[in-house]
Order: sequence, then structure tokens, then C-alpha cells
Amino acid sequence: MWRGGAPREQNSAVAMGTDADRLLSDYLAAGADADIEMLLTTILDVAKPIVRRIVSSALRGPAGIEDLEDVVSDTLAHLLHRLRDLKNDASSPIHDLRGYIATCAYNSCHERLRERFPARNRLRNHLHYLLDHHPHLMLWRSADNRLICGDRNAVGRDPAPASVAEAFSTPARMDPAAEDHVQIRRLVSEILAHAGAGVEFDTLVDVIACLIHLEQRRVELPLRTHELTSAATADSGLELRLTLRELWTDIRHLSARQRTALLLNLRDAHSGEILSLLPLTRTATIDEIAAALDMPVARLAELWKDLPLSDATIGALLGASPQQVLKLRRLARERLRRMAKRREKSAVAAHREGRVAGSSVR
Amino acid sequence: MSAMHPTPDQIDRYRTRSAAPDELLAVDRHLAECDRCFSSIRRNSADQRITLCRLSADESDHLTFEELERWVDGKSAPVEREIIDAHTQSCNACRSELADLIRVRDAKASAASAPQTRRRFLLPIAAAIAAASVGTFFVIQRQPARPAQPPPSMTHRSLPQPLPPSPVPTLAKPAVVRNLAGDSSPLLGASDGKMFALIEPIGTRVIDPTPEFRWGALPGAQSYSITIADATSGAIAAHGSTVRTSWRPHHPLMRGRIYSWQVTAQRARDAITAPRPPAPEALFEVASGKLITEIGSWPGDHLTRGIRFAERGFLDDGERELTLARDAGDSSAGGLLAQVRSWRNR
Repeated sequence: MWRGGAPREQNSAVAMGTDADRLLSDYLAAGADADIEMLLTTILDVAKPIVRRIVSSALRGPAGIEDLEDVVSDTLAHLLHRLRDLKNDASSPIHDLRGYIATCAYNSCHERLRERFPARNRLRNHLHYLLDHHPHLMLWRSADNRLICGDRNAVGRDPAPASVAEAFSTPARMDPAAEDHVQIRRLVSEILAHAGAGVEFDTLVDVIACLIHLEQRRVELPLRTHELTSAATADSGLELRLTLRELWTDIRHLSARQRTALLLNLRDAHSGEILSLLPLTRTATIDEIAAALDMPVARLAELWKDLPLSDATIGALLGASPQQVLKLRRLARERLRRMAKRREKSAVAAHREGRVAGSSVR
Repeated sequence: MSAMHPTPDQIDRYRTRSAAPDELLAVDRHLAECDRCFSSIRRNSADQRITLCRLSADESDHLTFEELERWVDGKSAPVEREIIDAHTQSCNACRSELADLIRVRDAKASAASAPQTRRRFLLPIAAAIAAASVGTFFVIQRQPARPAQPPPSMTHRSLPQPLPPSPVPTLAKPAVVRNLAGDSSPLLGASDGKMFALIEPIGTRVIDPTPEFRWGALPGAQSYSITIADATSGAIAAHGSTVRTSWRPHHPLMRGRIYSWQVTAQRARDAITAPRPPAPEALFEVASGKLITEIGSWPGDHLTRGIRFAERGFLDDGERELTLARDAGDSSAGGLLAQVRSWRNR
């Protein structure tokens, strides 16, 4: 049963969305630095309340106030970075700015909870999997994009207020690592039966975490969100400097898909196309590049003038989505970076050995 | 075009990437050979450092729940599987989440197959039996991440004790590996500049009937030709050539057959082949359809799969799964991995 006011809210949301999109197109069209900066500030002013509302709602509970402020500013910083990127390279446009801002905010919250509370994240994944594979229960999105779980018959109806699920009480075994799968399954059924309607998924996670005394120790983060958690994340965003010869040698060690995702979108620090530098420096001929791409050379020659290709075009060649192409490219970059580090280390070692040998000769 | 030098207009179109495909290729091939023309367009040298553009921070690099779920359910498309496999090799957080989800899936399957009335107490027993049955010579003890502490009001007298750890977990080298291996260390060294090494597949079973063949580069080689022959009949099963150091046959090889393969590198007037006597043949077997069906029914946890792959002679797959199990914190996986690797060196 949808709320009566929803259509008007939706209309107003559409209107606000259109305004935001107009701001974005003005920003993309702006030429003067002052105009660009002013429009960026205006877009961030539009984004701030949206981000704050989502983050406040999503991080209520375990996360603290400093997390909230951190996540808001991280999200806005990410947005600013993305908008600046967009100005230089329009190959991955944003079609719905408000939707994009909301998605960024939800993603940032999820990442923060994932990092801060790994046990909760494991439990959340556990419940998500259980609900996705249950014969009668399921997960769905509400009109306002919240994730709801419950019986299949409850789909489309208003979920129960969080307080109803939170009031549920039953004896449960202590299970700080959420390993007792049978008990967790039982609790899900009992809580949803008690609520008599759908329940917001994160509320279900919180209630079960509380009942089983889930280890909720907070993991302190030594670095800011976008700098941590894995070498993969950290490496892929950094600059990668290497010679064309090294690039060409290392690229042969990548998988065919990663090679394609990287080479067909190869750009320098100023987003300029650089694949054509390979033949211009006799690093590789177009025939050799086509062989490395597992592509007929005539096809590559047709695409040559369109380089660098967009992720959508590369995706069509690979049978992958643009997001998957981006991920393949990140993996390729990460692998190149590791190879570059290894090369650097062996060069240093060789240099040291040379010095030692030199000094012993003397 | 090779005989005639390109005109300045053609060179200009080539440089500005506005040439038609045929002209582009003709000029490119000419410039690769003609130093005079090349000197007129020469750009920064191949040794000059370039900086690749920063990647846009459009979304998290980490795997989403949906990606992990599809992987665990065996529903990932090949592209997604490659992304997930590569990402989990370097990201501890996602690897750990994947391992967790596999445990959830396995526990769910065990619970579904146990009788309803005693399910709660049979689950750990089923898990222990499953673990014990993984290898005839192998006993696992998997420590829980944190020991669960029952509240005072509850007891867990029915829970079985975990199986004792095996002091030296051992895997027996399967007969198929002995038959295929011979000496599967790099077949020929590259020390004198006239040799190069075959890398894979060697001495192993493979799942893919169009496996990727890889070998080390021979300095100065212009191209490589690859020949795959049926090891029993000697009939040529596939042949191809490439300028790269890897290649896949265009048509699938027959399942259940053993093949030998060799690569000949063309360098100036030399043709250098690997392996060559006295080195043994490079053999591999394409898994039979029956084995493929069996693999499809295996559980998804890396340790079990790694052991089963190794026991059936899939050395590359076994090593990959055991590496994932080791990285996910399985204490027995490291020793098993070392054993599987040692099979290649005998």
C-alpha cells in the first residue's frame, strides 16, 4: 500500500532532479574558471543536505558522530573529484545528478560500516544470502529506496516501524562471530513473524546482532576511507609512471580482457590518447598491438581513429558492462604497478650488488 | 607501400590518426621497416617515462554483495569471475567475505539435507564428516575465528569435539600426475640465449578444452609456432602461430585425451624449439566429461576444492584453490600447497 502523498513527493523530487541536472549541464558547458568554481560550489550546496540526510539515517546505531561527519565530507570530496574528472573526460556521463549523489552517499555509508564493523558486515551478508535463497522470505526496495525484508506477501506494503522489531525478545545463544547458522535462520523467521510485516533490512541486522551478542568492537581506521583496506584500492588510484617499453613488456603478462580494457582506453595524465605512441616509438606495430588484443588487425585499424574508446564500446567488444571494464582496468593497473615495484626492487638490488662488487675490486 | 615511401600527406594522416584503415596499416608496416621515413615522424623514445592518467574514483573497488553471491552460487559470468578472482588475490577484506559466504552456503546446504528434528546438533557432525572425507590421507582441523561462549543458562553438551589435528597432513601424488609429469620443471633454461622455457600446461590435467599455452620469451624472437599432438597417436591436434608468448587453440581439444605440445621460436634464420631432447615431452590431459560433471558437484570452499583438484591431477587449479584457502587463513592449506608444488619438481 503506497502512501497517498507519494505522487506529489515524486513530482517534487523530479523537479529538484531536473534543477540539479540543469546545474550539472551548466557546469559542463562553463568555460571561465570563475564560472566553473561557482557552479561547483552550487552543486555541492545542493548535494550537502541530500548526503547528510542519507548518512544520518544509514549510520544511526553503531557508528559515532565523527563517522557521520567523516562520511559526509568523504562523499562530498568524492563528488567534487568526480565532477572535476567529468569536466576533463565526458566518456562516463552522469545522467541523474541527485540519484548519483544518493548512490554515492549510500555506498560511502556501506563502506564505512563494512570497515568499522566487520562482524556486522559478515552477519549482514549472511542474512542477505539467507533471504535471497529462502523459499518464502525475500528482500525488496521500498519506494524511497530502502532495503526491506519479509514474507513474499508483504512486498509493496508499508514495513513495520523499527521499534516493533527492536522490541522483539527471545532467548538466544551467544554467538559473537555469527557462526550458528541454524540459530540465525530461526531468529529471522521469528522476528519477521513478530513484526507481522516487512522490516527494514538493516534493522533486522541490528536486532539479531543484539540478540546473539555479536562482536561489535569497532575497528579504528588509521587512514581515511579512500586510502585504506587493500593494496588494490590504494594502488589503482595513484599515478603510474613507466616507460612505453616497460608498459608493452608488462602488458603481455595481463589477461586478455585486462589488456583490452587497458590498451583501448590508454590515456596519459592529461587524458590524452597514448596507444598510438607505441608504433610512433617503434615499441610495437599496429599488427602486434592487434595480436596482443586478440583482435583482427583490420578491426583495430577501424577503431584507431576513435581511440581512446569509451568503456561502453570496450564493454561491447568484451561482452562486459562499462563498470566491469573499469574494474578490469583497475586490476590491470594494479598488476602493472606490482610489476613496476618488482622491477624497481631488482634494479636497486642490482645497483647495490654492482657497488659491492666495485668496492671489492678496488 | 613497402616499396614506395609514403607521401607527407599520408604520414600526416597516419600521425594524426585520420588515415583510412588500409592506409594506416600500410604506413605502419612501412615505418616499421624504413628508418628514413621513421626518422621523420619519430616521437619521444620508448624509454621516456609516461604517466598514465589517474583512474576516476567513480565507485568502490571492493566487490559488492551481489558479485560475491553470484560467485558463491556459481552464477558469475566469465568476465565477472575473472574480476572477482583477481580482486580477491590482493584484497584481504573481500577474500574474507567470500570465504564467509561460502561457509554460509555450505552450512545452509548441510542444514537442508539434515533431518529436521535433529538438525541443530547434526550440523557440526556433518561438517566434521565432510571435512574428514576430503582426503583419505588428510585430516583437517579448522579453528573457529573466535570460540563461542555459551551463556550460563545454556549448555552445549551435545556438540561434538573437533577432530584432532593431523601432525603431518599428506597428499599422495596421483598416478595421473606421475604419468604426465616426467620432469615438469621449466623444460629448458634460457641461459645461452638459444633456449626458452615452456610454462603451462605441463604435467597436469586441464578443465578447459581450449587451454591457454604459455611459454617464456626468447630474446629477439619474431614469432612462435605452436604444435599440439595427440600423445598416443602422434596426430597433430592443433597448430598455430603468434608473436606473443601465449596462445589458445581455436577449436576445442578432445576431452579425456593426453596431448604433448611444443613451441618453435623464429629468430632471424634460426628456428629454436622447446622442449627438445633430452628434456621430456610437455604433456597434459584435457579432463573427461565425466570428471567435469564431478567437479560441478564439489562444494565451493577453497580447501576442499584445492585438495580434490590436486588428488585428481589438476595441479594448476589445485594450486590456485589452495592459495586462496591459505590466504583466507586455513592453516593446513600452506603445507598442502607446498606438497602439490613439489610434485612438479620431481
